[in-house]
Amino acid sequence: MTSTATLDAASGDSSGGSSADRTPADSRWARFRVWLNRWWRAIDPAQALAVLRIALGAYSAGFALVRLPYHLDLARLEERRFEPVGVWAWLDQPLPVWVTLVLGLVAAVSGIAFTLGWRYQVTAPVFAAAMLGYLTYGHAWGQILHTEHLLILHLGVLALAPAADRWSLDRRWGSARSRDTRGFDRHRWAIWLMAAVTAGTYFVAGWAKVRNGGVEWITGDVLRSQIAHDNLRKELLGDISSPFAATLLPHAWLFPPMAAFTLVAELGAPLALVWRRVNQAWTAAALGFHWGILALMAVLFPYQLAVLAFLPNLMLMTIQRGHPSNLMSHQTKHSVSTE
Amino acid sequence: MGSVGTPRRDQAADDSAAEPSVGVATRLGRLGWVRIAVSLALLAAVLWPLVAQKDSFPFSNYPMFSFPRDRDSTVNVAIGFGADGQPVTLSPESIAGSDQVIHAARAVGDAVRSDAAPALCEEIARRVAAGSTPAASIEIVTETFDVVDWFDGDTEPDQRVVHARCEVRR
Repeated sequence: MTSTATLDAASGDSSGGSSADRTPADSRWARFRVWLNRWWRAIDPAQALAVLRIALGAYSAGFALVRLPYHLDLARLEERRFEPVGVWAWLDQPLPVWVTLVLGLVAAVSGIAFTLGWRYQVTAPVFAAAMLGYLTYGHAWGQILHTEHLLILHLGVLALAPAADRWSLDRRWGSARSRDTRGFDRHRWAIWLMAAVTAGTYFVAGWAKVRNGGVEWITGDVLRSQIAHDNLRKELLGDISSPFAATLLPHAWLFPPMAAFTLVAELGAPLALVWRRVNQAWTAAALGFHWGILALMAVLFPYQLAVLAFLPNLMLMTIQRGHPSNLMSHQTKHSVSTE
Repeated sequence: MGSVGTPRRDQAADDSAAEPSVGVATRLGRLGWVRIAVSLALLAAVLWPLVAQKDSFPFSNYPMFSFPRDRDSTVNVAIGFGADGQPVTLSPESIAGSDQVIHAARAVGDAVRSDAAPALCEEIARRVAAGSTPAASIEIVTETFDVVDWFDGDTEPDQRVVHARCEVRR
């Protein structure tokens, strides 16, 4: 497969206008699309894993730093509010506030090393462990927020993966792992595992709705009442509520299709691991699902809304090109042959 | 770090593409038992809450918004009142010391259920006094609304129970 047709399309005439009508900005945009298309099609599994390392590492290190004041506020709450979970479940009283500060700073600094791929075999596990401790402690104050689960699971996989074999300081300075073909299986494995973890979390969330809400979750008024209740609580407790809630909530007929879409997207997530086209459709649906949650409930899932949560799925799409039904496939076909 | 430009296929990629197709067993063998075990363990841990029904971190059964809920909904809330008696909305920071509304809701709910509303009221009053919210008094209340009608303009609660009232001393 060559990319000629796609490159032609990307290079410009899709707008329907003649070349004389094109502005310099159009031309730059067309060139960018060509470059992006070629880059996307030429990427190999090791590079795809490096993209994940860089994108998720930079986001997570920044997240650790930006959220530090919030975590410090939590660490100063009254002891009676402390309800440890996860790796901190063994605690019977809160840790000193400075522990949160150290965890946050270690997470941010090791996250920079992780992103750069510096001494990755050491810094990656340190980063993942620091983030786990830091984020888990933030959930130990009476309420578990579900916006960070997928992030920490992805970081855990990356910490165990050979994600610094390309575009890293280790690679530049010669300490990255070998370039044998066995490594390519390992890169592919890590990307697949990240996507599988994503699918697993969405499936569990969908199953919870079926188990707890039953058929009524789709056919009844459950979703509408949940959205109304959540927005009302925000209004009464001084938070930002959805600007669309008041407009949409009176229209009951809107909500059963939304509920059905939610369940199909969540329960159907594992199918994205099997077929490439389903992966494309599911990724778009999941992204739309989170934008819908933001619009209707003012609930922000930053990792998902920034597309980072779905980057493993996107990377699977490109490294599985030519093998639509086999995600553990070995023979990746790179379609750029124009050089 | 190397340049992140258009990647070129390196030797490994060439080797990979040139190699004849291999079976699943061979491919799994190349991964090594440690990676396979880690993968299975991780996926099992992600799916385990289906059975255990436990909400934790980083593994959860994701119970949010999954339970049936009626339109008639009860909300535990802390409300401020200005010197003129007009209601003043308090922020989650004032109520619970966190910017998360979910923490505020939990703090008020727990206080109501454990008869600790007066203590929470005083705690909120201290935070309000230290800030700029123009509230002269605080109430911890349980209100019941038709939540859909509330967004249609019917904002008066069907029921209202006051659990605690306290003054803000500046």
